Amino acid sequence: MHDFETRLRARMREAAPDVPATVDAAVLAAGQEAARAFEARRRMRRIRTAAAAALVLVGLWLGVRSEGTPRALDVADAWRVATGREHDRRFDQNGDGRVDGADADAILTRITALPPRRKS
Amino acid sequence: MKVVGTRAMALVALLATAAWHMPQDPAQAPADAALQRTGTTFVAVDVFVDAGTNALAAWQAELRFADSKLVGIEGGAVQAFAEPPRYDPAALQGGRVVLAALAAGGAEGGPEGGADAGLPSGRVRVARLHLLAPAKGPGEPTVDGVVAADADGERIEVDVEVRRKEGK
Repeated sequence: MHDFETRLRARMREAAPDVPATVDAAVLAAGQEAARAFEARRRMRRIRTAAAAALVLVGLWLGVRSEGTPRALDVADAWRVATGREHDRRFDQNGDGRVDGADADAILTRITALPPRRKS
Repeated sequence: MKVVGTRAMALVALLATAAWHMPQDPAQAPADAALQRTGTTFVAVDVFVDAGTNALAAWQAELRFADSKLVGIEGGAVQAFAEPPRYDPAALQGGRVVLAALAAGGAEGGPEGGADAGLPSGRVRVARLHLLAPAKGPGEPTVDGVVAADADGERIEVDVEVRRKEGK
């Protein structure tokens, strides 16, 4: 019997004090604040992922599209301009408002031009 | 009378001897000697374009010579490309040149001036280049950036060949 009481007494602990309501509210508020911050970070991560995916798609589109891509002028363009088959304003090389033989000449000059040599 | 005849004969003999020893072209001998000293020679190479069954209205190509210097450019063997092709004068004394030419006549004819009138087809010589090359001859040139067009201005497939001119 004595042993029982001794063991029981050894297991007894002081009861935890009552937590004031203000402490509970503060802990709850901190948790809510952390949850809000986590949610904001998660939203930003989604936006970043979506933006990266959009960039990749735009890059792929730019890479595969062919129509409308600027192309270097060549002798076929010069021939069409010289023979009056081409009237597109982008072939107006001298900016005189007309697409004519002078522009064909300018195209030939342009396509045969060599880069300046380096001075040794 | 006899004295005059003897003097005339002596003068003729003197002139004949002088003419025998005089070089054919006074400027040629020093030039040849200079070429021999530098181990170089002048070489002409022909540029051919083979358009197959298409009419060749315009062509361009970039040529690179690793061991030779360009010193002159002539036109081709057909009427349409008899004029020298367009090139940048800066290419002279260098080993790289971009040549481009529009067929004469066809361009003047305009769109209604007969589609293939006067335009060559098949393999034609479109230019001749003069090079200052090593004495053993120029190396194989690199041909790049070939573009050609038919009478309608459509791009066509062609073969460009550069060959050393045969004969002197």
